[in-house]
Amino acid sequence: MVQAMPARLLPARSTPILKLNATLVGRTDLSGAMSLLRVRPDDGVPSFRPGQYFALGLWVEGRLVQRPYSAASTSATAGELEFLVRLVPGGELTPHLWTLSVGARLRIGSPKGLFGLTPDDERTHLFISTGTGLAPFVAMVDQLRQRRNPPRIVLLHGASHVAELAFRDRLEAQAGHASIRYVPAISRPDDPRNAGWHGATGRLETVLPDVWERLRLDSSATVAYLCGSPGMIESGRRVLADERMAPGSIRSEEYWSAGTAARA
Amino acid sequence: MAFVIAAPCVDHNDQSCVAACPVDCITAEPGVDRKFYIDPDLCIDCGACAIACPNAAIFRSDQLPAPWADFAWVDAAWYRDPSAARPVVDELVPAA
Repeated sequence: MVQAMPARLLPARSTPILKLNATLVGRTDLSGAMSLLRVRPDDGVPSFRPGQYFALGLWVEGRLVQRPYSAASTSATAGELEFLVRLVPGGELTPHLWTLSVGARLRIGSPKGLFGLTPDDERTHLFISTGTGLAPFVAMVDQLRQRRNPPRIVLLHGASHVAELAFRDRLEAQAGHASIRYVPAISRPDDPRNAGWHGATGRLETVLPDVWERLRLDSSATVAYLCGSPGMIESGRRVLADERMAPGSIRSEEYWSAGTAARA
Repeated sequence: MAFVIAAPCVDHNDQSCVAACPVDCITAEPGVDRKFYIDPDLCIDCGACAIACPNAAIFRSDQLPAPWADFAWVDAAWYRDPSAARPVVDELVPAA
């Protein structure tokens, strides 16, 4: 049996580890709990793939607190990155992010993550998201539209409130193109804040089968991407399996593995 | 809480964890260190490194197998004084 070593004293840590290296250059509050942040890295926007994420961070009580956020913009956006951020009451970072005004300094990390498009995949691209999970798909749609022959694109975005349908104007304009369908859906249609909403309603489990049938999607000619909470991804995978999609054609990015990550 | 890189990493030098970490909190000095180290002050507990590691070397600090418990100290110490941490790695996993 291996004996544990006697307790050791840690050497002192003196140097600040990472410096703030970016500036908040724009902020659009979509609702009281969701904001679109525009961040300008000091060294410019690095090359990255749509679907990748960056850590945003602030010094909080002497500690650099960082959390990853998928970029909604692409490398082609000059000098700036866009991020959708949801306020998590009691979270370690977002309540502090919420106090920032344009001009504030923050930390941004390098692009990370393997969630992304497959080059030359000509299948219908079905993007399914809720809340801030829309962000990587905004970037992916932009990239797909740059192809000489873009594939058919179907983008579902679920939100509790109309105000949180981020990028709605832009996506509706893009959906004017024959190969792109944008389906926003509201899960709380009876909420007074959603008065006047005439689009799709209900949760993903009910909206997705309807969209699948209405748009006559073909499981053998579709690749699906899901982004959002673990629960939403589990539901989405179940619906797609019912539509006979092969597991290998379903890709997902979970925003936090349940029970393991520190609060945002 | 943070994740910790334990004995199975030593002398393997796989860098999948470095690429996976969203907050760039894993590093080592090439040619000098026998393993990679997670900075517990920056780790956000997402577990991406543990999923990426092909050697199953990364654990939550509260789930470290007992024989490797001292690797939690090793990782934290390296970010304060690498020369204090390296001999302990050699103690825990003697060089072949």
